[in-house]
Amino acid sequence: MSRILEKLADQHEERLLNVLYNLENDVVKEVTRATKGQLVSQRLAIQLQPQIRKAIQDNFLNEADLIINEEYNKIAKEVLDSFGELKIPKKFKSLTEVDLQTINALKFQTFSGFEDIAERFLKVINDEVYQSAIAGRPFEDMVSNIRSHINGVYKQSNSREINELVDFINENKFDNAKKAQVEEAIRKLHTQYASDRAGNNLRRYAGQIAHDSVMQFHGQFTVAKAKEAGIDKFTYTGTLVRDSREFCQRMLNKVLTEEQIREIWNTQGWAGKSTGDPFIVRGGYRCRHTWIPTIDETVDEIPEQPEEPTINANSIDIKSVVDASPIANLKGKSQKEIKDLYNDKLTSLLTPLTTQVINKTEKPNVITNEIPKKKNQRQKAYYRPSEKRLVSHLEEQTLAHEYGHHIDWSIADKKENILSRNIIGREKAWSEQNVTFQQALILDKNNLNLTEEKIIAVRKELYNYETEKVKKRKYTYTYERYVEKEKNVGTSAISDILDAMTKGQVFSKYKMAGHGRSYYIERDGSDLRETFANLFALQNNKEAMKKVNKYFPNLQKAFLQGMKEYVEQ
Amino acid sequence: MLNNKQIEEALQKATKLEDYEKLYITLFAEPVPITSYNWGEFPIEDVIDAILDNKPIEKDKLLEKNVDF
Repeated sequence: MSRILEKLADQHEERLLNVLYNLENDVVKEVTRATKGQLVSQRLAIQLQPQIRKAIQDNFLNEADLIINEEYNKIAKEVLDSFGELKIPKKFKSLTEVDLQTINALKFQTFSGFEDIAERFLKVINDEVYQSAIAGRPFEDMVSNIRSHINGVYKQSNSREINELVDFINENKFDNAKKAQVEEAIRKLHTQYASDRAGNNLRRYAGQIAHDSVMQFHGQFTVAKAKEAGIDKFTYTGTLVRDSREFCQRMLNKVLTEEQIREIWNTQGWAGKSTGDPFIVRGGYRCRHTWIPTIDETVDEIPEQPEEPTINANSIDIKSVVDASPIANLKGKSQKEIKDLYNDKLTSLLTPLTTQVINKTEKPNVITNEIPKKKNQRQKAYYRPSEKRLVSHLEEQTLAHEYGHHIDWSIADKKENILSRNIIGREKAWSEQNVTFQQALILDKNNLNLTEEKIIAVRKELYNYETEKVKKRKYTYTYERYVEKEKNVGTSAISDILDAMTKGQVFSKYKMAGHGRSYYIERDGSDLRETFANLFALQNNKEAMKKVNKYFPNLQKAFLQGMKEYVEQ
Repeated sequence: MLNNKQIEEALQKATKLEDYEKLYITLFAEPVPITSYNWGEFPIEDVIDAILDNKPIEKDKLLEKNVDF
């Protein structure tokens, strides 16, 4: 990242964060004026909506508009300057009419990103006011929540020390000389006043989008200009900071072709990876690196991903809960041998992280198999949370899938489930409680844009169409079906996640693997639970993870984040 | 209602999974149920057996007991 870009990103972030205090004041002022500091009524809650929208428009969006229109030309100039140093014809080094159109289109696109965030928080604030009306929440609590939705722990407070800390952080955030003191103040704010914390807030997103928009605008304009000049080599440029991603450390200063770069994005996953074009999203949110066009340098090999440490059979022990007595198709094996087989099978499907998760969680009451009633019938596989009963065979990754269900139910927040039982009449699994995981499912689903054409294209990628015959009684019956192109690459689990996203259409209509419409439609939350179980089961399958990272990067990120947080709790 | 001969003819004509599924729905007026042993791939053999036996696939009682497959 060049110094100019770095400076612009920091300045824009600072400007936007500053207007959030005005927004916080304006919104609270409007709510106070309308309610006169009393309980808000439902009628007032609705009447307040246009005023809250106006406050967001006048403060947040107005500032975003000013920044984009005043400042983004400087980013375009920075791109042109970098082209000026290359040995390419002069015509590619200057601003053309087409470039101006591209810049305007990119500015428009950037602004729509700010609008999306504004809309999201408008809804959050409106919901807060409306829910306060319904629940009869005291005025002071409602105001405190609104402030938290906008500025999180940095909200304006009555506590003098909090205000001093917040002011100190805001005044010195971009001063490198005071970095250590600022970090200490942030730590204090988060640890000592954690009760004020409201999780996701506009400040967090606004800061991130202000930063990432600069980088993304730069990335998009750079790649557009590079294509125009016929350049297809790029260097991953920038500086490393203390918390640089492992991916960025590995890629730094590497010269790669566009094809290599796209291959990496399609096949590798890393902590913090975000969806989108590799030239635009780079290492992920708040990444300070850019792809700079290169001509003379020699192309490097794609840097290898570091190997995950291997897990040995002693890493977990589920043998004590395996009930081997009814296990089918393993006749002739002793109880001990069957217990070992189950333990080894599960171990083979785990990563260090999922092993830690299993070891931190209470085991199921029983892991067993049930002998099918009919001859030739497949073996059962299910998990019953009320009894912590896990039934599975040893084929593919089914045992880890069912164990994934056990983990999902076991790590759910028990206090939240007291409420769930009262409100919806049942408990929820972790995947249903975790907002990030839910949002990731929606985000990946939207990014995949699962139209009929898209589903058929994915089906073509994963399956062959084959004719098979089956003999029943005296006749032979023929049918055409979709058969996995490759075995042991997690195709059925990946297809099942797509099935969950389409509420069973992928199975019921397109005849790929899954649980089907009736399962997903009739069973509330099953889309999240099955997605969790499938992700849990695929973690140690390298080939499958390439597809997971390609199709479901946000879900994988949310899964890893959730599991890490659980292990570190 | 189809007689045995018509059912056998329909089975012999069927080539796609959808053909078998449609025949199942015609005979039993209900979709092919998902059970704890047949989830994953479309249960074609169960469907053919059900059609030949003129007996729909038994619904899995486990589903009423809040299990995840």
